[in-house]
Amino acid sequence: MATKFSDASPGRPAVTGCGRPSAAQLSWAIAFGVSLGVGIAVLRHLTVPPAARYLLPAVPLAIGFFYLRAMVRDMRRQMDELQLRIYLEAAAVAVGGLFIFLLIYPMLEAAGFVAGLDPFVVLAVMCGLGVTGYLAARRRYR
Amino acid sequence: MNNRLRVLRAERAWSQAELAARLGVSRQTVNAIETGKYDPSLPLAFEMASLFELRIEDIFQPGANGNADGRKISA
Repeated sequence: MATKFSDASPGRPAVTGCGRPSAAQLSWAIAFGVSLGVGIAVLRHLTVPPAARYLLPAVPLAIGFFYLRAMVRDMRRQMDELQLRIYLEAAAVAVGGLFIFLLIYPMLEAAGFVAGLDPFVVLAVMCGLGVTGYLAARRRYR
Repeated sequence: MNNRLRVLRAERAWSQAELAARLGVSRQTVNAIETGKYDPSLPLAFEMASLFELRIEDIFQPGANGNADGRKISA
């Protein structure tokens, strides 16, 4: 954690977290995971009234919104311009790579190389691309 | 872009972490600027100039081969 100096430039708070998630962001992430897990388990294994079938998926959706809000707030407050640039490059690699992957996938499926697309494969590809982009950008500016 | 940040910091016997804290950025950012891998934004350059009590052009000079991104600087 960076030390705060008395003569640090006004209007620019010292970078404190270097992109580490805050307690709020972590809490929303945990709440999201729990609500998702519980919701899936309930919908799969219990008989629930129709109203609950609509309500249960809405809970992680709402929590996900608050998680995203906390994440963006953390980025704004904790990251400086270079860290934001590194994250932006990683996000560009993840989104652009996923875009290309999703466009090519039907061709691979038609050629018989792959089966139907599993959402978790999409998630894994996106995470892999994001981590790769982040490490590459971080290495470039080291 | 070339800069004298490392020299100016050494003259004041500040560590990279200390300078980073004074500027409100991370140590990684100070290091990237010193090594010429990253060019700071104009607001950050102004803050550096203010901190060292110099003009921006006293700290940063255009490099012969363009800026840190490899883009050529037009005259």
